[in-house]
Amino acid sequence: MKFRFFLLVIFYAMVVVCLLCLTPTNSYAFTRIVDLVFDGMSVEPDKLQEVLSTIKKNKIKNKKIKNLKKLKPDKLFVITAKRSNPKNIQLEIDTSEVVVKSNSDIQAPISNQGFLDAVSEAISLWGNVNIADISFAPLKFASGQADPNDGRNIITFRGIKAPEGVAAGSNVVTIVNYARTDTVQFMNKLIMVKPGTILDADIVYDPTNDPCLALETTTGDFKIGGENVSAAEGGVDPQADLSSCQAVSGGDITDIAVQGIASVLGLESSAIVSAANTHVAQIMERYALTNDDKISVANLYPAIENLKDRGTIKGKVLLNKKPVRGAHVVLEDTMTGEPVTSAVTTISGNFIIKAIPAGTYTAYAEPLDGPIRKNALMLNFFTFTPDLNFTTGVNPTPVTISSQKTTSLNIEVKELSASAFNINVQTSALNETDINAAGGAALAPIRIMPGETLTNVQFWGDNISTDFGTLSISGPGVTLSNIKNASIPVSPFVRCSNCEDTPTTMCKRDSRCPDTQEITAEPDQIPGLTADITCDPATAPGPRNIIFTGDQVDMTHPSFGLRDQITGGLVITE
Amino acid sequence: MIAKFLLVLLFISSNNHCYANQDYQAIVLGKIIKKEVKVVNNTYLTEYKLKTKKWFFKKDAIKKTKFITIKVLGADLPEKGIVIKASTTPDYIPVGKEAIFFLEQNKLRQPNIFTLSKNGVIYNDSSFKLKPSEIEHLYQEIEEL
Repeated sequence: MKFRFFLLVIFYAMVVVCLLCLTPTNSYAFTRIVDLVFDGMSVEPDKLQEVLSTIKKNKIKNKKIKNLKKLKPDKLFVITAKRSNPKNIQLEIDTSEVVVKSNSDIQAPISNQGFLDAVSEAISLWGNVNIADISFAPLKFASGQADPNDGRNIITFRGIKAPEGVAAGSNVVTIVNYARTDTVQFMNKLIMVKPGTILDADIVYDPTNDPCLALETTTGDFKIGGENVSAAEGGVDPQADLSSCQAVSGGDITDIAVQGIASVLGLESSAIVSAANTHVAQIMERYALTNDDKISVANLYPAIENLKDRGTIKGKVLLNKKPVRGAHVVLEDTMTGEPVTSAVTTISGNFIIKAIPAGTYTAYAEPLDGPIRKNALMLNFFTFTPDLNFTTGVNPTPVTISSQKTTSLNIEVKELSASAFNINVQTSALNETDINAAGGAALAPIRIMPGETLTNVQFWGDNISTDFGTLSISGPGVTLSNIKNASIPVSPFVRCSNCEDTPTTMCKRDSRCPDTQEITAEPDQIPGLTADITCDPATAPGPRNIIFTGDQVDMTHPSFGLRDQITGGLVITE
Repeated sequence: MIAKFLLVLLFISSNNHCYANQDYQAIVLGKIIKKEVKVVNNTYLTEYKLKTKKWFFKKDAIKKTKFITIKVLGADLPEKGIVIKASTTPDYIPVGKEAIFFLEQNKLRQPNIFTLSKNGVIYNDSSFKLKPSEIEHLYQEIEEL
């Protein structure tokens, strides 16, 4: 009898250990969720709420059950993505058929060395993060297409032969194959892995072989091709009609590779717009990672020996004592104003960030109400709907992070009110042509050099007016002046329609419409403000926050103390 | 509000493919009635059959049909224990329930074969703070395009 009981205890201990091995940290920061598992089954996204309420009920029932065999399942297991071999990540690069393409001549062939150099730069950026225990094997040269089932991580310029699953204009697709369970069929074999293991990842530039897309490096513009490659297989089409292209351009290869490699590592996109691994649209040639990028990779693959001067923060975001899910928690360096790192709270309102440099920070929690929204965070939440019904809550006192210690912090936020703000920025007035040409790249972040002044930068959003509050930039060295209320054109829809002049009527021509069309509607205008931004010559480079703080105490619009910000909305360049 | 929503939608839709031509071929309300994974030249695609209910917008070259095909890169293969995701495709595509689909095509322009980009589906999700009445406004805005 005793022996049977002993076996039973061992059995349950093994079950618990097995379940624990599936249980991730209680943070969604930087990690990519592959699956949610309840009672041994994947949770369909639209069943999540139902499952959560079942868990709640089962927990109550389990308190009354003494027989372990009769315990009801009461845990949701979150399977997160991770590489099993972070110290030997083998990427293979396909440079076999790359030729240059420029705005004026898409056919000029050159060496593929530039493409190789551009991708190598991105690899070395991630590989040189000394607080992360990752390293890349020397690049291999490969030939072949992306195949998520071959166990090779290929970076290629070769268009996928079945491009119907990729939208036109995509400049890159990262395809990642994750293990959902502990036994998977991969490369025609049944293998045992930890759930969430990244089995294969491929980065495909210009997947649809779009003739209007020419990716660039500092040394030139690239396009797959070569005289012996047919257009159907991804080669340059010498007959391609570029006259209908709104722009023959596509983005910086290194910049895109930085994001692609983040996916290969299993990282989630950052919700700080200045981070290299973020997915808000922007134009930026970046050859350095931000602190946020480095901390994110260190959270997933920590290099313990190099983290001795760093600490951890963990806590909860609360609204009326209830947990807030999907809140973006940010630590802003009190000395420089830099948003150093951030996390997004879990379903239970929890967050945890490790590998933070010891120091003093302003901590705040903001809703994911733009510019970064839930959907910009890749594969993170399934249909997990973040709470947006609150305004930014700033912890009343700065938070101290000490070396090798964990700081606990609960951040209180307030309910959203009619006086709340939601600030957005655009550096130029937008119309549909702008959007199409730049893919929304004019949104954020604003870039400024030390010693430079930007004039008439436009800000807009709910209650963004000098009547209700003040605009500021975090940290020293950047000042705002000439702040004025203004009408800001925000709609991308300049509407045009086909038109021909007749002897009696003239089309309403506009430079924003094609020559054969006339304008039928102007973009919407909404209230906002404009400001000049000046950066002192000695200002340290790095990201800053653009902050709007309410200052009205009157009862009709009590905005005092409310605030909203674009985290990382300004970058001081080197 | 709607203008802002559309603006944000466009901005976010261009994520991960900056400079992309955001070129919706059609915007349709409908329900996915069939889902099938296909392997084409070593690449996994999931093919969805969409039963259309309402066409809010379509380009001239697109014909209104009762059923359309949507092909999306990536696949969920429970029998193999793996999930293949592409960074540009939606995290979740609802099957068997009504949703709004922002349909795109690549340069192949196959008739009534479409794809979806990352934010190409709106379903019963309050992440954009859209109430039913606001969605109704969105429909009207789209109809005016």
